[in-house]
Amino acid sequence: MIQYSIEELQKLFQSSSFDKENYYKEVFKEAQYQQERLNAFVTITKNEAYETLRYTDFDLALGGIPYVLKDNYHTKGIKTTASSRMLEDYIPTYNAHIVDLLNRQGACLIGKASMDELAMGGTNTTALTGPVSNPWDSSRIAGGSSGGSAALVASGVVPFALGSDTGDSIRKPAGFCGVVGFKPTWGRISRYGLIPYASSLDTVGAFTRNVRDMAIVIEALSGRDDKDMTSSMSRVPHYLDNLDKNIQGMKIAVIQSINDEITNPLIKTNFEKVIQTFQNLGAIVSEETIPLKLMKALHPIYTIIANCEATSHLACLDGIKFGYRASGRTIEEIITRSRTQGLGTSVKHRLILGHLALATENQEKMFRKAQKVRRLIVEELNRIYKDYDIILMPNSNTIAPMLSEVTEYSLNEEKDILENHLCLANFAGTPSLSLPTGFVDHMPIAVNIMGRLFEEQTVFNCAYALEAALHFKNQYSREG
Amino acid sequence: MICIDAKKNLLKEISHQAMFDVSDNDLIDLVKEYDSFMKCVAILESIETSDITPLIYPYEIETNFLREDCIVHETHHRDILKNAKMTQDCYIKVPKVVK
Repeated sequence: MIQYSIEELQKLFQSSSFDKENYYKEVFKEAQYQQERLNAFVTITKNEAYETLRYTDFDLALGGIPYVLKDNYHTKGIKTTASSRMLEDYIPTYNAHIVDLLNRQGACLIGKASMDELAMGGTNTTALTGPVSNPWDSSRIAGGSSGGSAALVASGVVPFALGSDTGDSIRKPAGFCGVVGFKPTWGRISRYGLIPYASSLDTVGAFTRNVRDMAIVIEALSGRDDKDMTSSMSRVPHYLDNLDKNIQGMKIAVIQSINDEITNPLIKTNFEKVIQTFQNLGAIVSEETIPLKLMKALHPIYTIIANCEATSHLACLDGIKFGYRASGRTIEEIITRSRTQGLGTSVKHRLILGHLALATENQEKMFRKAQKVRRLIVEELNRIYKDYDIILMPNSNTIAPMLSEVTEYSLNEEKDILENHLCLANFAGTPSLSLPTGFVDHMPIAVNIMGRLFEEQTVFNCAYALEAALHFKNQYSREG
Repeated sequence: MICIDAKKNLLKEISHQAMFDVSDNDLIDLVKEYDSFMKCVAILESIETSDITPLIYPYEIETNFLREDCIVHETHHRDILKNAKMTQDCYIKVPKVVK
């Protein structure tokens, strides 16, 4: 067996009777088995991992704990593709800050995980290496864009994996795969070395199979990094030591304009059960509202801001300095052909529409307008946070869709509110955790717990109490 | 209301500026996406924002200051050039600009 939590592994590694060598042999055997079933890895870093293990201090906080990185984190000497043809053979010359932190704490990278190309997508079907399957039912999607990371934690290969979250790219796949997914406050963790999508929204985050492990991982990654000017200087609390299941008197808001959108009766019943559980635990749950007109603007705001920021950030993908290079008689021809051949259709369309919205004549009407409406929504959230510690929402209106039902990315201005509501936490930069709360049609479902800026501890405590009451922790699926 | 040909011409021009070639086939899908995108713009237009300042970052960031201009990290050009497809000596090679 290899499907241990971080805390279990910490104890086992201290025991002289535990065979570490055999454990890692089993880990890589399982990685191969799950790769054939789920297609969740881009690269399995077996040789590098064994080299690391030769010098690993198992007494360190994460000493010897295996993990996986989404393939948009720079890893020195290890291919970093962001699941794009454009970066198919790109080998970074430096590590992302969080990779250095995990190295210093003894964690052992065993692979780079598949993702939607350049993190643009919610299905993990646009990766260069093909779609990623859901561990609970391999005919369904894992979700995206961090689908490979979610699937590798949910299938039990690793106790934790890192993802990145711009709209819901950790929390949505976490819910579909039945694991804990968390994006902390924007600025809590350095993004140095993360290939950007939309920098006013992008957040480093993680997947684990229980809340205690999440507290360990986030504590290990948090803190100021001078290389990222947006990383916060505020003190990092001891999240694990301060975990507390007592949530007596905690004030929790549920948003009527979101709840009204739940159409799946089983998901609705589950959400009502969660509310009842919180009340039984002594929390005070009340209904609040955000004007429907603003809720319907979530998808338009996200689309415009994310596409515009991506257009700016990804202008460096030109085939000249690094990445895929097509032939051409002039520099312009090389760049145009490289970008056309190196990027997938959905990425190209997003960048073209982002370019449109950034054009001088459109900028005020499109990009600035989206930023203004974003402020209105964040003001609504801040108004709610004056009276409440937590905002509680369903994670999704559906279980993970079938692979055959998913079409390639297409814009739809009339998407359901419940397909986009998790981006509220990206707009406001607030911490947001998705926690498994049950099953519908044998597939996991979840709720989302969102707290105030830099109040990760409150979110963890709320989730910890719910997890203990519902008993869906440490779940994984090796078959299906 | 912009006619379909005008949309195609606009998108061809924008694609060119963004340094992409779009095929006629691709343009059909791109027009559909453009229509959806413009409906997104219309949804936002219906919301009153006359006295509202754009929100650029999620919150007021304390770290928005200039740091000292000093070298803290160096990468050797040999390493950087490893990812370039065409190099010569210490340079990335591209077609001649001045013939």
